[in-house]
Amino acid sequence: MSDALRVRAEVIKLARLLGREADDLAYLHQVHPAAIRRLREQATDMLFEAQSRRLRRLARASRLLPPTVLATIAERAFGPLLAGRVTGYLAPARAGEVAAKLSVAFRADLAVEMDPRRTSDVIARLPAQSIAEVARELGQREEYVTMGRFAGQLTDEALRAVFAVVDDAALLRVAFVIEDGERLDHVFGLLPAPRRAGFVRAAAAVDLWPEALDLLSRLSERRCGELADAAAAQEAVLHSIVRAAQDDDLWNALLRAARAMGDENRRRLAERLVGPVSELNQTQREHIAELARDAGVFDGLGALRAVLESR
Amino acid sequence: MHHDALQALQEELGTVPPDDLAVLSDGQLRALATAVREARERQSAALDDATESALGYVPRLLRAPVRRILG
Repeated sequence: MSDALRVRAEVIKLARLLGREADDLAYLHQVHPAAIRRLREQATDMLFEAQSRRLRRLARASRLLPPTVLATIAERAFGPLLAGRVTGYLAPARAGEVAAKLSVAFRADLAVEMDPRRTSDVIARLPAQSIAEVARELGQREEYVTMGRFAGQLTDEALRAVFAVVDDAALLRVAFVIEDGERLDHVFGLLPAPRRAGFVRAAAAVDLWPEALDLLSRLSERRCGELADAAAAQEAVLHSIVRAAQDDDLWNALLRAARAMGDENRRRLAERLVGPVSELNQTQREHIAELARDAGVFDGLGALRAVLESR
Repeated sequence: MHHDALQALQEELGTVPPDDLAVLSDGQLRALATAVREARERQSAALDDATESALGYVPRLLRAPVRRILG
């Protein structure tokens, strides 16, 4: 993932936590993404700890009440932010009983406010179908940041149920903000092959190449190769990816993806790049040649190699 | 001066902020500290309102024991 893209994702998540617009925190774009993530974790911990005594008492008092009453209180009195905070202090089985009584819309509101790190036991107990209902609702609301925060906590069964109700473009946007890189590889491995092809079609159709190439750069070589080959095998997609590399300066990510492709697909991609690269000036061509050497694909670029070396 | 702004953020977070934030200006660090403080204040006010309003939904017989636990 390029630092610029990662920073954008982290600023969106921090802004959500602090109840601000991402533009309000634009000055954070000069900070390393890992530091913004750490800051968000610190702020999350502070917000939980600031009220921990009262939240613990609320959780203790809630034991006196039946789940139906608690669900009514959560939806009508507490609202999603506080209900989400209290959830972290409930016994997982109890939280699961209450969750079953909540409306889908409120469970989606709750997901936006909850800290998945503190509620993983609760999430693990929820039926896959119930999680899919919430995912569908979140997808319709374009709450990709929230979906990405939870992706690491879901069981394989729940992930498969979610894939069935969320479209390709939404999944791609979610993948862009998934926090755990290793988990991303596992999640991607659960996607059926037709959905991988759908991923790259979605990237081409709605101009999501920065997100798609980011995803490629965070996957293992094997998974990256599967997705890159799915992209290179589709003529219209290939055309779109070449244009995106030019327009958005995504050469580095593209060349790294090229390394993971099969030889035939890499050759086809290189052929497609000959025209656009020929129109660049010498400095730009030298820059791309250097990136190709760094990515270890320079020697496999066929006719494009000659264009890159021309003076 | 820069040290003071970082210190203000540290006080709001209750812990030492990541070193990388030192690249921010004083004004930016103070804006960040304000955003963190306001998020905490909003959460606290919301909790006050919600606790009071929640008691209205607690069955009458249970209100007294619930109030005792809430303190």
